[in-house]
Amino acid sequence: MLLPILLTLMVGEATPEVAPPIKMVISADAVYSSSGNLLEGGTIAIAGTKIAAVVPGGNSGEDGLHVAAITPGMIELNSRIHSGDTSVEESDEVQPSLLATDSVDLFDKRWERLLKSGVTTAMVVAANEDCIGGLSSVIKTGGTKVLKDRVLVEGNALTGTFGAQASRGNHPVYGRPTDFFSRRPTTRMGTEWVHRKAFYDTIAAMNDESRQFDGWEVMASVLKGERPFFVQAGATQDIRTALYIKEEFGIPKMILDGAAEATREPEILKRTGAAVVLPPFAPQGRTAIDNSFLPWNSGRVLLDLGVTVALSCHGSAAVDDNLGMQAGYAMRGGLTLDEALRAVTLTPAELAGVADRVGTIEVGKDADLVLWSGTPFAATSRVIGVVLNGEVVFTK
Amino acid sequence: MNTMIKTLLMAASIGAAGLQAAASTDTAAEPTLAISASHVLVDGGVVLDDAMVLVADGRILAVAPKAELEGNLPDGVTVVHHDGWMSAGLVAANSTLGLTHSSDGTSAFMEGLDLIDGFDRKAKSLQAARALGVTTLGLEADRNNVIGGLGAVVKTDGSVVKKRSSLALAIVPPAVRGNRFPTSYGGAMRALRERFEAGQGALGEAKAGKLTTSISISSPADLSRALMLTSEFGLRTVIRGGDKHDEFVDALKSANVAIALAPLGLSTNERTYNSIKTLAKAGIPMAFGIADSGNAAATLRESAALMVSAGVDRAVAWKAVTSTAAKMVGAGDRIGRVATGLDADLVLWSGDPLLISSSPVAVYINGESTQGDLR
Repeated sequence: MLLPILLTLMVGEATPEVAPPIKMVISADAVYSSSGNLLEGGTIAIAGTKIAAVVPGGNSGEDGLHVAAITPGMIELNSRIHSGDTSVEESDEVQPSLLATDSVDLFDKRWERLLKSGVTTAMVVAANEDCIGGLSSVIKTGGTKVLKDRVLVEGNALTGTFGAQASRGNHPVYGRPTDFFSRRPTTRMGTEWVHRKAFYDTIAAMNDESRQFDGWEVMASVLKGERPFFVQAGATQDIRTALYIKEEFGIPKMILDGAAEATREPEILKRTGAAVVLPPFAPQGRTAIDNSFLPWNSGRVLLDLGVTVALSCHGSAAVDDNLGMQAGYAMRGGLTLDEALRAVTLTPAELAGVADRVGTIEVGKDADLVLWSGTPFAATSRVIGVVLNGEVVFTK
Repeated sequence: MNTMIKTLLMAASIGAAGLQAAASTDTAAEPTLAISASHVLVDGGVVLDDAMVLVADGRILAVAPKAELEGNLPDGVTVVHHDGWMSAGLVAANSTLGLTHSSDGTSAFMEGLDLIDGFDRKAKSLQAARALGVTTLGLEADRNNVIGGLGAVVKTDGSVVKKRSSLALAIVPPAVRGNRFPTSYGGAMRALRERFEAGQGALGEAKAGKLTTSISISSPADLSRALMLTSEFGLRTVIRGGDKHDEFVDALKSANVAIALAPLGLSTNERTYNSIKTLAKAGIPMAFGIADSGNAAATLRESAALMVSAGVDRAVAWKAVTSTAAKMVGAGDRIGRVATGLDADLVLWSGDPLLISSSPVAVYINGESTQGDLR
């Protein structure tokens, strides 16, 4: 009944070349597009790997799958699914040209878990043990085991770490202390010094060929604003340090990852325009990132300040720490459903530089969808299906 | 040599199951050794019954029905009649047997290291290996360095077949966990890419396809990285170790990658066998490497037998420990089959060599008996 309408719609919009046939139709009581539209009763048609049409109506369920609600596939900015210690290059604490995808294991079961939780796109980031950890990439959480088929963008951001994680002193990730591994900074001051030196060296390299070092072009691209500096800073002092460095070197794009205590520095945040990725909410408020404190209303406070906010699970293995639950927690802290939805879809897509492909339910975007049993993020709702690249990859 | 023998030899060269013809019968040396057996396993699944092998100058001069050759042997030929099986000597695609050291800790990148310099031709382990019917070994560096060095091909009598046969790389935890650069997969991959791009020395030869690259892996993620390097630099790759290779069967096939498996044993799980069966079906070359442990050489024939018991074609399994392994180490024109012109590396078995219950009763390398090794 609905297909003819959809087909006419397709023909109307089709380019003269090839319009792949519609292969799947999913309707829902509510379609949350993440771009500001809520369709109370809507149908999504999928052709190939893309969304071919989004139209009102279609609640009969006779034409295909019908569920309570559909949202775009969620996007995790820091999956932390890496190969552990073998993803950390310890020969130097500054590793701008290290590719996080070289350490990724697509056979890791955590990818499947992530996909089933409704996360369809994730940023691959090296472990946060180096001050400058290397280049991140954005990949789909499911699909083939051939990496290049999964990558949306390679080297989308330069990643780094402030605070205690990168200054664990003589406690190597691997091996015994007191030798090769003793080189890393042992204090927050040392971490800050390493970052500052790296950026000074980069400015020198940009002006003097003889000062060039391995990966200086990557550092330079951050100074030029060609890619963001995605840097972990959880505690207030680390957030301050990161933002001072942003101002000192005029780094155009900075994303503070795991920035639990971001609300404690509202003025500098507002002034510098850095974006914030919150770590998972913790029952007692203390997060795993340098034991920093995350208030429940952080999302609300930051949005009111005009700060861009994304939510993340930061690789937590706790049962409740899936991204949908984080959106629910953020709503408990004052976000509207639409704001919470954006914080796990469109906003992270924009921050990761992949909003042209994913993050909303719109014609032409990748058909990555989460099918819900009820209102998304409600404690009583669950993910009952996931569509990735136009294929149903999981149903419950 | 009398005319009768010559004619027979020519007939034998052409007639023996399409085997390689001798370079020239006119200049053929006089045979010094003739061995007959009830069954001669020439290659894969090809078995000649009541056949005889003539040996001259350490090479196989002819393989033909015993009845044709026996009556026309020149004087002075040593004749051995064996009531059992004869086959080519077994070949390990990689091994550290006979190496006093199998890597050097100077750096994680030892592209200039020649493994042959660490080869002890008189090592006891070689003697033990040939007593088990293993006649040829691909020597390769262990997996502790990202670039382990240049491998060689040797025989278990201590002779050298080839001095530079392959370049060993390792993209496995032991190679990225040392007390030196690199400590990460990212660091190892970056350094390898830089070196292949520069294309100096052995890496240049590998990039040009003149030298086989043997890449050690353990997990499927390692295999994924090895395949990335293979396609980025057009390498001629042999994957060493690992399991679940079937996850990448299409990529392996399109990149002409061969697999040097770790030995199979009674503890090998079904998942591994499923992978091996898939690779066999896809026609991906498989051979076995052996570790340097007490009974390492014994694992080679066991592996082939276990392959058969898992359902792999007999011919594929036998080739995995002989001719496929020989090709993998770049010596397919010299060893691995019972064929005219090839080295006379022959093993006499009490029964079918693919049966565990059979045992070797005599081993010849380059036509020389290694008598005394055996019980």
